[in-house]
Amino acid sequence: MLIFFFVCLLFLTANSGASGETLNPAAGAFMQWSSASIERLADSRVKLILALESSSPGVLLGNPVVFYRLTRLEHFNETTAPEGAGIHSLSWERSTAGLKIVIFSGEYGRASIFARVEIGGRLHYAQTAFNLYGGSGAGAFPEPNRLPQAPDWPEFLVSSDGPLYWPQTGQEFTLKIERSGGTSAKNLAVWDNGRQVAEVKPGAAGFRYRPEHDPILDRAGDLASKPLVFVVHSGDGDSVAFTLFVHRSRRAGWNLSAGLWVFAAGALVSGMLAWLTRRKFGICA
Amino acid sequence: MRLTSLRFLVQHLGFIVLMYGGRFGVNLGPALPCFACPYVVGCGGHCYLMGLQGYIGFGLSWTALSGFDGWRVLIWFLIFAGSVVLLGKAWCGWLCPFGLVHDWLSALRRRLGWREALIAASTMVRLGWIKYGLLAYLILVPPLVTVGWLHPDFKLPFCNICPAKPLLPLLAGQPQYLSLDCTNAVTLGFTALSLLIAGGMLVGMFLKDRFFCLFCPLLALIRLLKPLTALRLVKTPQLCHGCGTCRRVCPMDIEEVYQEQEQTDVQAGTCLNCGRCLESCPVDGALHFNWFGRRLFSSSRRLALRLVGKKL
Repeated sequence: MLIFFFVCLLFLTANSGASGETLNPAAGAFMQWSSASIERLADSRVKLILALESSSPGVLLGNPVVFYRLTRLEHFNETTAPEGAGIHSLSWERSTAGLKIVIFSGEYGRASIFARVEIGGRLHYAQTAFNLYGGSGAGAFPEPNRLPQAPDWPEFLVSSDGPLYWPQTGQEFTLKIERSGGTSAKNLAVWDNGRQVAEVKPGAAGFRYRPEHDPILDRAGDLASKPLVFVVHSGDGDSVAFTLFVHRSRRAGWNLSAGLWVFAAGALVSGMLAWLTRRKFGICA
Repeated sequence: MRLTSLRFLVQHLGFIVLMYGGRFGVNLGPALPCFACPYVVGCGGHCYLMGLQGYIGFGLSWTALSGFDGWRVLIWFLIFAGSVVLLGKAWCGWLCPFGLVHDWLSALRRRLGWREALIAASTMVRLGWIKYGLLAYLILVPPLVTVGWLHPDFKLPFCNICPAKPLLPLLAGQPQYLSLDCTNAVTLGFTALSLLIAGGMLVGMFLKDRFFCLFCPLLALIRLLKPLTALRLVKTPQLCHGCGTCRRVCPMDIEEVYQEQEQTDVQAGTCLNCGRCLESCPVDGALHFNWFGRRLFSSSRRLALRLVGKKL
């Protein structure tokens, strides 16, 4: 009965997921990956759909160049680079959300996606990464459009004190730029929902940033995520951006001492019930 | 070797493999018919209930089920069903890690000199229906999450209230599942309910042999495959003296083994195949375990008397 009551209560208190918000125009344009969805296909491959857009709405993206590097994973975050990596160019199509890009993977792999767009003579680079868990090797590491080597573009190297395959709020991320072309000495701007939320100075290990917990994400399910964009601008207006899709923290809301009290209360109630409902047996003469 | 000693040995070996086997590379998959909790880091296999609610069961969309994932669901169900057919309820009585925790608590109670709590037979029957309710709950809720009618934190609805989730990880040095999850109202409600149940269940497990097995939805699922199981408890009614020892020693308070006077198959739905009735039966050959029709263990007057002598 008690269980039924609690489950009914939970049904009633269930909340809907996070809602999307529109981007506000902002100075210092950059490119960002705005949405991502991953689905499993009937042949066991996974399909990643990404949208690329400008931070300034209404800017028509010219002819972007997109490629991705898919690196086989042996475990969740151990890669077998470089011999296990494949570099592929990608095609794209225009959609209402910007440029739509689709990637397939038939194996466990980490896909790093890179795009370059030229707007008004300035180059804007956008990068993101996902772990893709394709099954059974069907359509593994598609060979078409394979490039002999990756273009010599700036690249963010990201590490974390938590799981990188499931980035969460409250986790510290360290970002370093390779082949930066003079942008590494600049500050890193962090954008969240069209708003700059932080500016990080470079340290010896790179840029360190710990995203704050987000009540909207907390109320949504653990699969919900939001894009955080890390941007570095060069002096002449070029930009390099990394979009990280972070989920809510799995453990930030855990309270052990309160839990122990509830556990003890359960034990106490159960013990009292057993004590009060016991029967005493007398000895028959 | 006495059956109890053999069971003790198998239970502890099984506990080590299922609780810690993953640390040594053992992976028995996600379709085990026993409470090998996936929340234990480094476990050697997963309880089927988690998969059934999620990625190899009712948590999948129709689109996913019609493709590759549908085959995975079928394959893992067949592996689960095959495991049940081969070993039947021995998974519960001989291999379940949570069952062993029950047995430890029962042994502690006996060591302290406490008598087992007795529950009236009619109450036992009524309580027994809860496991079917829980089975229906864990089957019906995940599709509602998949279609978006329920909040995503309702996924894995049984794991969210399962008493094994806070208790078994403790034995692997993980107290964190005793936490209240204040992330949102749903997680808070579920963890509060889970901890109340776990606390209450711990007391119940101490006072009554195999208390949780009364409510175990996995037992209900295994019971659905009962007609196919190879391991069965068999009685020779002509030899039975009607002493009632089998009824008294049964941790599940099963009456059928004692009462049956005609049928030879006395494999009850809630029987754990622990063999305590068989070992305590003082009549040669009155009870035995059959596996694919072959006799494995038989009751023996000599063994039963030795057991009684040891207790005295």
